[in-house]
Amino acid sequence: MISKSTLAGAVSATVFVSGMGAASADSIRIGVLSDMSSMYASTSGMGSVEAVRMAAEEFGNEINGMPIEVVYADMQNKADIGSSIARRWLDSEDVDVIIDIPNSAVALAVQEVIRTRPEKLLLVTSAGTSDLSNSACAANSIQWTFDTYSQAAGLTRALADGGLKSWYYLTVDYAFGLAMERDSKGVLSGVDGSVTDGVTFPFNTADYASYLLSARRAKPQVLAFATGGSDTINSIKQAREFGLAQDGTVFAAFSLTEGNVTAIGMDAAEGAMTLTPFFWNRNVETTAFSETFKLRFGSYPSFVQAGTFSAARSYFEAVRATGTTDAGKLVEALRGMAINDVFSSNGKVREDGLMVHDMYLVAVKSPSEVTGADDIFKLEQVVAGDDAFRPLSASECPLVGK
Amino acid sequence: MKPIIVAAALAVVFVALPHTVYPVFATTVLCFALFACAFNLLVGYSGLLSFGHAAYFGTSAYVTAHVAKEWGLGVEISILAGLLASTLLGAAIGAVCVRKHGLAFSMTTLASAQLLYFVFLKAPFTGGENGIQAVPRGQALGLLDLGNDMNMYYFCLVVTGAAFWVIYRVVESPYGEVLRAIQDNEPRAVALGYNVTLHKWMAFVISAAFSGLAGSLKAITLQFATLTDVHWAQSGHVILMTLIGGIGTLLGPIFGAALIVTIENFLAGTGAWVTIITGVIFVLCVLGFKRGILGELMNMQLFRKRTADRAARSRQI
Repeated sequence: MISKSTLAGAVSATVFVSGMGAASADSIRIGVLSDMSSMYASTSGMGSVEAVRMAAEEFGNEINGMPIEVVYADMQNKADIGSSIARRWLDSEDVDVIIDIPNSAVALAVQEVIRTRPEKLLLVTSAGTSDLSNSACAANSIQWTFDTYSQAAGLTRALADGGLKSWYYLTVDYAFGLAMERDSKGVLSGVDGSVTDGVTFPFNTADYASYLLSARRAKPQVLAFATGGSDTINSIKQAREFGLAQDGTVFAAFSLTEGNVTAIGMDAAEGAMTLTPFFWNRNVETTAFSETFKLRFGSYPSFVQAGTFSAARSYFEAVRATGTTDAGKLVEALRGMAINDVFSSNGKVREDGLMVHDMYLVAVKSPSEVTGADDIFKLEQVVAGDDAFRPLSASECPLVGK
Repeated sequence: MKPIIVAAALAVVFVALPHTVYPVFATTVLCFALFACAFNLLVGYSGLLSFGHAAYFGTSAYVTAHVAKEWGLGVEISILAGLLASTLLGAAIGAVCVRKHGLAFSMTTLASAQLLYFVFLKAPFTGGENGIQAVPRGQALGLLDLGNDMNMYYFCLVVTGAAFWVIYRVVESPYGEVLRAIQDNEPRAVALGYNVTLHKWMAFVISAAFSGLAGSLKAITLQFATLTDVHWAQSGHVILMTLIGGIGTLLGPIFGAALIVTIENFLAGTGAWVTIITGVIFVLCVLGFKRGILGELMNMQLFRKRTADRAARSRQI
């Protein structure tokens, strides 16, 4: 009817006009595609935007005379919205690089879009699916922070090298959990005398009684949590209540964030181990960076937000060095750079698009060891990147070995 | 307003649309507009509020994506396969749900949709959280390369236009009259001898079929199918679009879908405000515009067909 077409016309006209005004070929436009209203809002969200802004400010908000513009969008953790926004950014709004993307489905979808636009770059600093740098790898995309393989295999290798060979898996029964269990078992199969057993449970279970009782009967050295989010929180809490830690069993969680630990409670989570790419109070430099971040944003950076800072920084450095925003040349430059900053030590970008860097085996501090608010992890061991991430020889990425 | 004038106006707007806004965005609007219209057939014209329509949208998206990508059978067959899947699913679930009334009906539809969500979460072919990615767009009828976004839009426009015309004919037919009668007063319809359950079931199946068609088109346009499509939030999404546009009006859902998709895409730059704005509009509609924005506009005196008749009658007396 008249009203509908008028409204549609008005909206589209406004958008078209505003789009025309902002489009410009001589600025560096970086798009932060994040989830700001759903489950990833605290680990990514506006914190990722702030991290990119901090990186831009390090370069004085301009490179070689071209201003840096930071744009962002909330894709509400929905693949349709995320993909539509990414396409629009790349095709009609002159965005040169997209960063963040906490949802694996969206990250994969955007990677497919960017594959056919080789002059644009994708820096995935938030999504964890290992497919991004494995079977679905792309020449103009880099997975910067972690993947499900490094979380599972890296942690397993570190603990197995320490002599912990009898493992019991508590696995959430869908692709995410099953993949981590598989990758972890893959590492243990190469270890003499390793014993594995386990049980799977449905996604979003509330009561783990039966699963934990069978774990208790097995009396493993390591109780591995191949879970995420609320499943991790509830299962670790209940595992403590069922007394599984009393037998000396080590709790090893493949995915455990500071936010998860706060929800579990330090008493229940104490001693739980995980592999993390970053935690805010690891050393003097990371603490200084995190305090600055906290002043601007209000809370300490998650490893995703620190990783986003690192990726943006490295991107700007590469743009300055090559004088172009063309992804092909930038990836080449990034591969030649040693990525050493507050997030990454001994970091290097591999040919499969994975940024391999040191990971940290951490344990949750006991309440008596805690020195202040938000003091959660203590470093047990540094795990070199090549020991944590999937070796190139095992990669299914078609770009490897060309 | 004569239907032919409305149809012509709509045609002009939609043919010109991809030249003013980004084509993929316009195609997404079409898909969700079809989804909302299909849903409206059930809630607006039959009075059956289903909380689980994402099941048909998502099942069709997954089947289409799988057939197009893994079996490589081309766009037409993939869409038909998705349509068939959602129709059969609608027939099966409808047969169970339609015997219930009111809240029980809504809850059974929600339960079936949730059941399906967990099936898709675990089924290997859906790719779990990764979804089915890199779905090829292919060529329509072996002639039109759908990789070109403009071609994709016009192909989608033809399909959704045809689907919308079918929904219009269903609503304006004697069958549609019976549905409205059932919505108004079911016992009276039973007393008149209509097989009420059969009529409701048929409405459910048609609604599920066109929801599935929308899902298929979306899977081909955006080239993926993910858990978002079968999540309960997608069921809520379509209720939101239909309610804001106008339940029980033919064009209301189109307007509602356009508005919501536009807000989600173009206000995404405001960050977390997007959901707040959408929520505020929803609350305003529920409180103030009970017939939906378009429904209220159409109800205003300016558009009432009966105004002229009333004036004519008063002259006679």
